[in-house]
Amino acid sequence: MKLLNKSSSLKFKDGVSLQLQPEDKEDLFTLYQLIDQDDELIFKKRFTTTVDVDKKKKTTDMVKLRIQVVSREFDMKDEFLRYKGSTVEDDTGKTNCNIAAGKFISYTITYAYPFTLLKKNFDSYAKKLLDEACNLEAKADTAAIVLQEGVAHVCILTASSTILKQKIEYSLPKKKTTTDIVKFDEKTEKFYKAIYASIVKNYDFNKLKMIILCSPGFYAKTLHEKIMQYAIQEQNRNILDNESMFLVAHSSTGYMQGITEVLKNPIYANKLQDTKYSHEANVMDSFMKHLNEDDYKAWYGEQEVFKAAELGAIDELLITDLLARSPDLCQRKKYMDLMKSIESLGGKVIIFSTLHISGEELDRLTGIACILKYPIPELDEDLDYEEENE
Amino acid sequence: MSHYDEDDYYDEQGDMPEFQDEAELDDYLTDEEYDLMNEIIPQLKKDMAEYHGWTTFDLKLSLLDTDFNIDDALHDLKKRFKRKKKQADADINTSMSNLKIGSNTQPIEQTKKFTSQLRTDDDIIFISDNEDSNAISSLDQWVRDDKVEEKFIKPYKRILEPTKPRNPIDLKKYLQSPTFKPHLSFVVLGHVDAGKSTLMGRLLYDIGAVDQNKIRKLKKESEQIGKGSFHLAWVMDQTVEERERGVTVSICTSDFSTSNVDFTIVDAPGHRDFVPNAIAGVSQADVAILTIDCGINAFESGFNLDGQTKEHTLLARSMNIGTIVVAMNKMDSVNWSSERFYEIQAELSTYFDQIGYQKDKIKWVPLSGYSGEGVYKIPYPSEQNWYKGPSLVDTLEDVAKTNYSHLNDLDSFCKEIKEKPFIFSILEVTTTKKHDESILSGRVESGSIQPGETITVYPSEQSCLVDKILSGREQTSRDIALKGDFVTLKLRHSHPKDIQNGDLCSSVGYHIKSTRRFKIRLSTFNMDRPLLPGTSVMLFRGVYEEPARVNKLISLVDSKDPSKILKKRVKHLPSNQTAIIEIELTERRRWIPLVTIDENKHIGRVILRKDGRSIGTGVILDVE
Repeated sequence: MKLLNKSSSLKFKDGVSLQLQPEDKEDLFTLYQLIDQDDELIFKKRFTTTVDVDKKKKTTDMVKLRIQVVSREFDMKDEFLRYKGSTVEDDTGKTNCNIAAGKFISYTITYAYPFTLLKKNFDSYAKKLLDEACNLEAKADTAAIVLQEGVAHVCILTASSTILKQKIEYSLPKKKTTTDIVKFDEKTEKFYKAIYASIVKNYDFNKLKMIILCSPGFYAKTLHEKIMQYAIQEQNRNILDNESMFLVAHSSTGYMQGITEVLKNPIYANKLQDTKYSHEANVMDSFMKHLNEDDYKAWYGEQEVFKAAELGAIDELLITDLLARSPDLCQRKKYMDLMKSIESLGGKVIIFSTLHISGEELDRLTGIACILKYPIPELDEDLDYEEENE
Repeated sequence: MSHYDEDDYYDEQGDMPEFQDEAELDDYLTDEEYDLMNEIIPQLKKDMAEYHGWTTFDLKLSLLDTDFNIDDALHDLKKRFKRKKKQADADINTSMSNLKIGSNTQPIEQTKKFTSQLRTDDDIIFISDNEDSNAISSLDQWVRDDKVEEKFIKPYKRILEPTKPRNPIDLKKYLQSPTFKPHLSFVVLGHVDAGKSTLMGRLLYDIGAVDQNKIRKLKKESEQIGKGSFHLAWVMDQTVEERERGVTVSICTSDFSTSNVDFTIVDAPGHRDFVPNAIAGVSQADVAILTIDCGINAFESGFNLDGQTKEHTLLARSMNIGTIVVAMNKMDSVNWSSERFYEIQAELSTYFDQIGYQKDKIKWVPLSGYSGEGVYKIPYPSEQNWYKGPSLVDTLEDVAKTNYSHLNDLDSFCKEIKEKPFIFSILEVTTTKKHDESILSGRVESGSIQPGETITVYPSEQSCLVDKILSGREQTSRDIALKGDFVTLKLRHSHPKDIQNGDLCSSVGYHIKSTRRFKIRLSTFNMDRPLLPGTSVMLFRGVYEEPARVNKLISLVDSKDPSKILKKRVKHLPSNQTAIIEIELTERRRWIPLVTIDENKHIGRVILRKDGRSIGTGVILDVE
């Protein structure tokens, strides 16, 4: 994302005016997290207005509009982000000329044109998001194909989400002593071909830094061989030149859970570098490990976490982006303060993206959890008491 | 407030002042008008329930336009908004289930953008922020809608009247007739390289189900790639990959008969990566043959730590396999040493005892799958003079006879078959050239079926006519199939593309519920990580393999007396506990038919796995 201009906003006290130009789908996701209800957007749009009273004559002009955000639509897969809002009065007179206040207008964010965001509440979380998005290093994605007999999932992992591009399902015939094995081999071949076609269609090799092939047994290895074989047949330079990008890994299943398994497997850790999502998967795993050992160092639930924070005992805070950017401003402030206080005491805060599997799991787990510096066995004791009284 | 686009900008609002939102409109009204409005609105909302796209604001505007005449307003509104279509319903429900899950929707499944998707969770939050209580009540309605989740498989016409069999068979006469033979299906389990496939190849060869020429051909082929000792296994392992790697991957079924019993063998893979296939195999069987490699150190490596011997046994136990025949394989490699036999027997017995198998349910046979001693008719060599029991096949025949001991009490057996509904679990579905014909192979779980009867396949709920019942190695046609039989059903009037491996069939009049969320009582095994709400697992029910997650931990119960609740608030579920939990399938469009444990002891069971390990077994308690 390009930050073209930044100035403090006159209208809002903690606000800021940002001129932004998103460049890829990751930026869209950042914007999705960044822009809240009641923030204002200034952009140019071709707009039709009726001129005369009979409403017969219409003119279409490129005008500068300013809206206050009411709702949004977002689809990571289609790289589609649209905001809707109503026009507001602009004292400077630069925008919304000849357009009454309170008209509903939508704006689809594109990569081609910049727009200005008037952010009411520019807190530390928003700042961090923006800084990360404007940092162009390590933006490349990782692709992953997880498969087993007859089922394959072709995915892309970005810093913020796991996207399933295509699911391939072939029902392979079950073996019988009488089965015609030629048929079986044909179908298997078709299955691998379909995966190859999907790779060619869905992956942009210039933007990828690695392709993980994972499966139980030898399917991943066979797939790798097949991909190379087909690529040679087709003379697909994209694949042949990037052969080193493929990483064949082992997982116990061909469903999406298999990817998480690979991400947290220490064997592949050095190859995956320290990507955000593998870090998330690892933190989640160490949280589970503490729970399993019952060493009273891992807790989840809002009450428990806040209590532990009061005691200054939190080593790592696990929180979903849903909570960290809660639309309820009081809530958000509460979590912001919590994160700040933990960080000031030397603890770490890890914000999980709920578009990843580990984040999704955390979301189910009340959305907030923590690992403590030292065990506190009775952390939930008086909390238990409260609930039983209810 | 969620439905508008640029066109709204030009909407005629008559002479009305233009309102931006409800609050403004409410301000404009006099007190009387305001009260009147609030009186009429609930009724109007009810009338508009079948239409979509409107908001309370629209209703109020329309009422104002028509001077609070409810009929005129309704007329006007009905013209403006579209009636809900069935599809639209489903779509709304999808987006509503997004809402319920919060934004933790997987981007994966956001395939299409529906108009209704405007209502993401954020919109809802906005509504509750800004609008009055009316809006919130309409929100409640949305959320309520969500609970009635739409099925995504197109339901077909269901036939409710049973059809009569073409040639009705008298059950009692059939059971007494000389052509009737008991049927036994068994699965072959054991650690990788214990010799499961070779043993099965040997068995089929000795019994005459595979001819000499084929074996000779396989022998030649296997020697060519330097795997001479694998030729018997190749009877079962047919794919190129299985042969090259010398590992069984998927299950292989095969039928054979002795003079007394019809058998179905399911050869399961032993490799840990293919345990899911082994589970599918176990689900089809009455009895398990546990193959043990008695070679030096071989048993130990299969039994300890990560070996599959224990996991397979545990799976068999979890899926209600009553009897285990332990095939002590490769005895020739230890020179038929009785010490080795008893040593292994002692160690295994302790384990069987631990997981709850009684001594009389375990049979032991020393044998050699490769050379064939102790399998069928090939006699033991002179070194083996300490075991006087029956060979493997004889043992299996004995087990079959014990399993069919209820035949001695024909009347009550007939009564049971007749009273229980016909339930069939599909192992595999295949299509033919005829467009409405499907071939289902699988197991009759309860009741009986005859050609000419009509059955319903779940979850697609299509009613199909049973045209033919086939069984055996030659796929011969038969007139009836009973509980426990492994048969192939040829169906007419079916839509094979909507039948999946693992689906269930039942006789007309017996409904099987399909769901994606259900309650189980789970007994956890040893786990590395505890189960938490949200933990993703793989769910196995028979042939089905589905990604799922733990939705709720409801209560911890006593493993010996499940009705006794130990603890109500469960924060996490550690190893070796029994608890009642709620499971939800991860894929939102997936519904699976489920039968509770009370309805059927065999298919009312599930197995959970995570990260390649079996973590628990459950019985289905409640299907929503």
